[in-house]
Amino acid sequence: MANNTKYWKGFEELENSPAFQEEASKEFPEYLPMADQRSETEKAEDSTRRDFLKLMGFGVAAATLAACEAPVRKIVPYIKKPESVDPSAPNYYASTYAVGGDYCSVLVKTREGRPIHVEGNKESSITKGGVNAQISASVLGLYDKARFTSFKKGEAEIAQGDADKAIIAQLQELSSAGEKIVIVSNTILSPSTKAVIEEFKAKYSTVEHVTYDAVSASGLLKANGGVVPGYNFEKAEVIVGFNADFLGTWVSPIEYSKQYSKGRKVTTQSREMSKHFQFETTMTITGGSADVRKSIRPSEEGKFVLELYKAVVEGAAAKTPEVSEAAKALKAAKGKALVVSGSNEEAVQVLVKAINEKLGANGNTIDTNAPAYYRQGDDAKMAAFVEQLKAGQVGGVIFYNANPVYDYPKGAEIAEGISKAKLSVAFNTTPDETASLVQYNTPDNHYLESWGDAEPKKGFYSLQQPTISPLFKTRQAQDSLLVWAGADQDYYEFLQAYWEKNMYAQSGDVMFASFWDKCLHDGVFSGKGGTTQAAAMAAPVMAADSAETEVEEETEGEEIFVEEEVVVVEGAMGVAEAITVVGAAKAPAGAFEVQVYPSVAFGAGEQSNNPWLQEMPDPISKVTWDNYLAIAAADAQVILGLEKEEAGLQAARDYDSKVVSVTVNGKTVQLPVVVQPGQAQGTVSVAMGYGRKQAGRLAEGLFDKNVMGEQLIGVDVMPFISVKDGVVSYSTAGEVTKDGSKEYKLARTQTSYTASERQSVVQETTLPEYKKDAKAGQFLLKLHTSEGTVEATEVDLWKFSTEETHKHKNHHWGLAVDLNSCTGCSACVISCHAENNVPVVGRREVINRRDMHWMRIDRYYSSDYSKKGKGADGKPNTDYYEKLEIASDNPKVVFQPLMCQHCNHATCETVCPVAATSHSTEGLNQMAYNRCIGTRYCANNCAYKVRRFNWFDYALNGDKENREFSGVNVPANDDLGRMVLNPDVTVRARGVMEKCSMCVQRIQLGKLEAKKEGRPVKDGDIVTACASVCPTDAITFGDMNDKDSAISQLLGKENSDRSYHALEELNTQPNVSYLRKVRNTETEA
Amino acid sequence: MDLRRVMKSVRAIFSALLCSVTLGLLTSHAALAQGDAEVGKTIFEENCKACHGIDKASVGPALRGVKERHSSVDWIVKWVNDPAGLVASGDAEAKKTADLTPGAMTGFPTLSKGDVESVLAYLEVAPKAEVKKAGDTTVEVTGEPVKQDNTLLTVVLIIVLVILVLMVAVLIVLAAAMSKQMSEKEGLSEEDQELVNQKFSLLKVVTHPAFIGGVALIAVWLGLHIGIHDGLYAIGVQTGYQPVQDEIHFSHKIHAGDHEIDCNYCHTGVRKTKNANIPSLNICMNCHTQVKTDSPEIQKIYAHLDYDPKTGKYGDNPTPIIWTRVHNLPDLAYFNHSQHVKVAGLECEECHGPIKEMGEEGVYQYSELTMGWCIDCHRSKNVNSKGNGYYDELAKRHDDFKGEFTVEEMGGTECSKCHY
Repeated sequence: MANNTKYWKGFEELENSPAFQEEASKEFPEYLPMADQRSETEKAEDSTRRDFLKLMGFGVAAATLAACEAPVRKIVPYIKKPESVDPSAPNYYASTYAVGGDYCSVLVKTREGRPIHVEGNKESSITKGGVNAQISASVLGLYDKARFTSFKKGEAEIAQGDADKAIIAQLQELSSAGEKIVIVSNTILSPSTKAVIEEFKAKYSTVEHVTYDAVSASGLLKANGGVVPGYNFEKAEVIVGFNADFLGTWVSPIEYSKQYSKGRKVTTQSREMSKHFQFETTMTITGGSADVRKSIRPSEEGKFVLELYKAVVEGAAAKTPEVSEAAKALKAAKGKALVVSGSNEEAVQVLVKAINEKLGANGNTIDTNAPAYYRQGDDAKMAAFVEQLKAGQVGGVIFYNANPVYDYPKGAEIAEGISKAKLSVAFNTTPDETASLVQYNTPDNHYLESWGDAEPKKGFYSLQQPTISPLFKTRQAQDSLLVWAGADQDYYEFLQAYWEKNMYAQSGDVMFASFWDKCLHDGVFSGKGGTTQAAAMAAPVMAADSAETEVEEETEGEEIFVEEEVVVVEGAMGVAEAITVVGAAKAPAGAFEVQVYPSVAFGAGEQSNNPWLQEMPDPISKVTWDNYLAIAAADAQVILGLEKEEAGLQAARDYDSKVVSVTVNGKTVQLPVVVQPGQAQGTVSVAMGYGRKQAGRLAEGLFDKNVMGEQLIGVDVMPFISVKDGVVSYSTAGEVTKDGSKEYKLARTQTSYTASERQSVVQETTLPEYKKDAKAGQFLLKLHTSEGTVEATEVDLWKFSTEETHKHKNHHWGLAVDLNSCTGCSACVISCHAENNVPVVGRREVINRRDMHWMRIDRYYSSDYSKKGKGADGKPNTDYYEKLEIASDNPKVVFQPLMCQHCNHATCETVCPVAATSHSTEGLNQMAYNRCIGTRYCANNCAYKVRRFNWFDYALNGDKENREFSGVNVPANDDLGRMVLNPDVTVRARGVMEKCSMCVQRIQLGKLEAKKEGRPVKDGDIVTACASVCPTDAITFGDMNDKDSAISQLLGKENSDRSYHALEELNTQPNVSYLRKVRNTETEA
Repeated sequence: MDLRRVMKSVRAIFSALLCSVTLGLLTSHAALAQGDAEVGKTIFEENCKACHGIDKASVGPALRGVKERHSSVDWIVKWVNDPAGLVASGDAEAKKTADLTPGAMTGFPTLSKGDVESVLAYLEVAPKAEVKKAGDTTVEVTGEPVKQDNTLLTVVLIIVLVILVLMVAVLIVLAAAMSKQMSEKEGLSEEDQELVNQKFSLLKVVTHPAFIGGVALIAVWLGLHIGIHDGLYAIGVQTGYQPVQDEIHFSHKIHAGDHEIDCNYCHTGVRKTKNANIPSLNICMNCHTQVKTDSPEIQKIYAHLDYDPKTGKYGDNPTPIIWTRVHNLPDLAYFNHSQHVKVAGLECEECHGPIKEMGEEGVYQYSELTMGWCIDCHRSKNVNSKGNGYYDELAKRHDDFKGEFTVEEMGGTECSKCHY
């Protein structure tokens, strides 16, 4: 009898609902890993096994067929070839990056007329060839699809001529009606642009120019007569910094890094270095480089400065040990000492100035002949403008590449007020928060498409030249102003005429044409006579400029404004008053002091649409794609309810961050927490420049929402910045509360906090030790073998000694990285990205540990625990082994740039089954992408974890866009972004391994140039991308077979005692060497 | 000692003597002329060769005997420095010279009198065109040498085969004769009898499993070898690829062959950069404002340039010519022309074949352009290191330096020389 009994697998099958049927039809019940990143509609289209087989069968057949006949490729030559352009040969142009007071003289590499890389200009006596991450990444901004492609009236495109007519008509109307027209800009370093604005003012008498800085230095300017003092860290033997991140973000970090690093270089022959004290709230790269660091609350800054003032100037004893030590060192180094403060309070800056004067800094560590103009913003004037705009007293407003709606604390009020102006125009290049609110958008060119100049310091001029024709129908802002002013010159002519009149006169050259050509070639020019009209204008706040005051006084209805300005100018505070003000200052009431700081990657957020910068790990926290709340471990215990050690360990090990609510000035945001060693207790810090609502499409391209559930990158904390009495203040009291059990994954590239005492990775010593023995801090592991105890380097898996295996007869390329110089600024990481077409993978993939950086900078904190620690019973405390990962509350920091070590006995090469990675006779570890079959054995076997695997097609493959990455890896996916790719480097496809090639394309080019000229390769001809931008000259590249090369000298007689190889005991014999870090402290780290 | 050997030695000595005498005569003749012919050669090749042949008129007239054709060396120097100025000055000789060709000559104001004299000296000693072809610097490329190699192999194979067949035939005849003789003999043992009576059956052999197996094995091996091994190796190899150009049927035969225009004149990047460069249209117009203006192909250039030959004016709507690429190296391989042409001193023909014979039908791909093809050359060729400071420096670093390196010894077969 047939058995008719039927068994159901469960109620679901019995019910046989449509949902069940759908599930049952699937081979695999769960989604594949990548599937959950797709949208719902895409999930529905998930492929089945049969589809897979069909596709595979078809694919194989198609590939076979396609392989039989090569595609027909076309080739299009120039119609008329420009004389200086040879396809495939790069051209370099000297130019200037001067955006919002950030200055750098740059060398722009162009290929076939396209700028593809920005490097430092060594001719500049200010930046001396250094670049930072933001400037290195700025080339990508040129190819940003978010840029305006034409002039616009509202949403509609408008012809330039029509826009000009309409704007001129309105300007004339406003001017004749006596209504005020305000030009709002960030700091303008260009003297000729200021002359253009003067010209504009001459045409329209009611024009006012208001300057503000997103990161204000108003206090510094007021205390120093309207200029930034000409700091020279190179001459300083003792440096004291108060919340001034001068190596990372403060005022002119590239210049200061160059100077600072000079004083930090030690050699076996010269064992002296500067001593650096840093008092700061959150851990910055400057604090990380300091010899003595103290965590302070922002409100305590004045107190400590005053204490130092009293100790140095009045000879009083300081209570705080660090202050006392600093005072002692400063006094001992009179004339070679420098104190800087990042405070925006005038009183604090007046005291700092007084200390410097007492220490004889003027004329020594402060070049009084060359004050700087990096910051010119006037907080009071800006605050007054906002009030007037709100009150409808401003007839016309022109935003000159400024985005105050986002980056000025009272941005919301400006947004409200713009509509009250009869005319509103913006030169901004993208439809950002401000530009999207104005009537007319007359977009400026990108700086790489523009003419221009800059006077960053008195008597130092810098020329800017276009390196590409404007990509879109945009026009230089200066040209727009000249057209509206009815001038008959265009800006190029104006600029030349200006230089002929002002700079040429200082040169002593016979012909202007040759002077101009020389300046264009060099990019910079140092005037002999110092200041001209340009300098006077470059510092409008500096002394009451009679001409300017006159213009203003002629205008009616401006009394308030002029009065305020006079107050600013004459209100330079006396020292006595400053002492009273600082002494009377009280800590703000509230549980926490909330500090908002500019990040190394973004500053105030100007380039937040730049994927390279978004994926650049923060030098300290190693977080990408987000801002976060940095909090001290002790505070984390209280707020998150954790044991202290648990807080430290959790911080070290986990991506999952607890989420807290932060309330400041009645505004609340949620932020993920990072337990930050070195954070002052009772303070929390968060980076500005995130959470921009109209930054461009990068935020939309991300698959993830931010911690607050918005489709934005990070959280906007600009509302936390307050304006008090016309002074912008970056720290205020606030409340921090735990937000339930909410957690948020932060994409961090390094989750370890300490090196866990692995001295074979990072080695350091102290200056006194180093003076005694240049080999101090050396660590060599001993191994116990059957033949006795031997040096680890004597044990080798390889049969032969080096002499027999790899003879580097021709060249022997190597890199030397000086840990004593590296500040972790990450310029090299971005430069490497640009040079080698390294893909950006986005937040989610960084969390999956699939970031593609060819070089990273590992940051290690020191720990209070040690393997040597003894327990209560006097025996070694094994508990400490686990706790080695917990960083100290105020740790010492070391930055270690890590790229492929190009081992002579490479572990990767020996395991590759297809010999895709092999060793060259020049010492390079080569990677042949087309040979790689993606087994990943090499990455597994690499001791340094520097190999990166292409899990997906990050770049456009043929015409096929990979939707998962087209939003984030913009440089390789859209037609505009692809213009930045380096044509000499392969864009890697899915399934292959990649890693640092030591810029083999540059090596090959350098050798070829030498061969063509029939001469040996000169040292310095070939420089890797990382070394070419380093602002502290921490990375040296060269031929180790050349006895006279810089690297041979460095690793030879200068510093052979200090050099070591990472993980030397593995005997991989890398061609990358490190120079041990030396700290100028008495005690061991 | 035998007579032949002696004669040989005598002949060798005689020819050596003859050679040295000729050489000596040549050099002394050159020394007589003012200026250095060697220097003149360089100057000629860098400046004049693009438009002038030695014995053959190209854009400009042939230059041999130019010294005799003109009044004085000084006049020639003036002409070379500023031909337009000389014509404008009303010089009758200049007017006559200018009328020789439709195109106006470019002036070379940087050439000194000494330079011009050197060129003239070179022109006197320069080998005749025919002689030059046999010289050792030019590569003789006729037809397809690869195929020649094949025929040689085939001939050898055929000879071997014929010998084998003959041997088989001889053996068969021998066997037949022997068995006949054996069968006639009486009193053979049983074994021998059996052997003699055995009939040779072809069918038996053919149907024997070992034979079938052997044949099958050979067939499979051949099939695999031809079908898969050779087939796969041929994928992507486009030797002989000769696309028809969509727009202009440019003839290298006319330009580089008949008129001997230097390759570098149009392919400007070949000594400087990675790309040889397809010439931009302004290079064509250096000559074709005057030369063959009526040709329909030239009219196409005018159309692209928006140029009116009657007025000599350019319009403002030029369009580029789109060519079909002949040599397609895969993107993953980096090849640099200047490395091979300028540094190594290779002739274009070594890779591009008889380019001077490729006419209007277009250029075809002469070499395989496979990695094996690259590597073969890098393994066997010595680096052109003479007089190059770069290699002199490296030679010092080789303790076992024997005077020359192969490209391979310089690391020329390593991955990252071409793949990065």
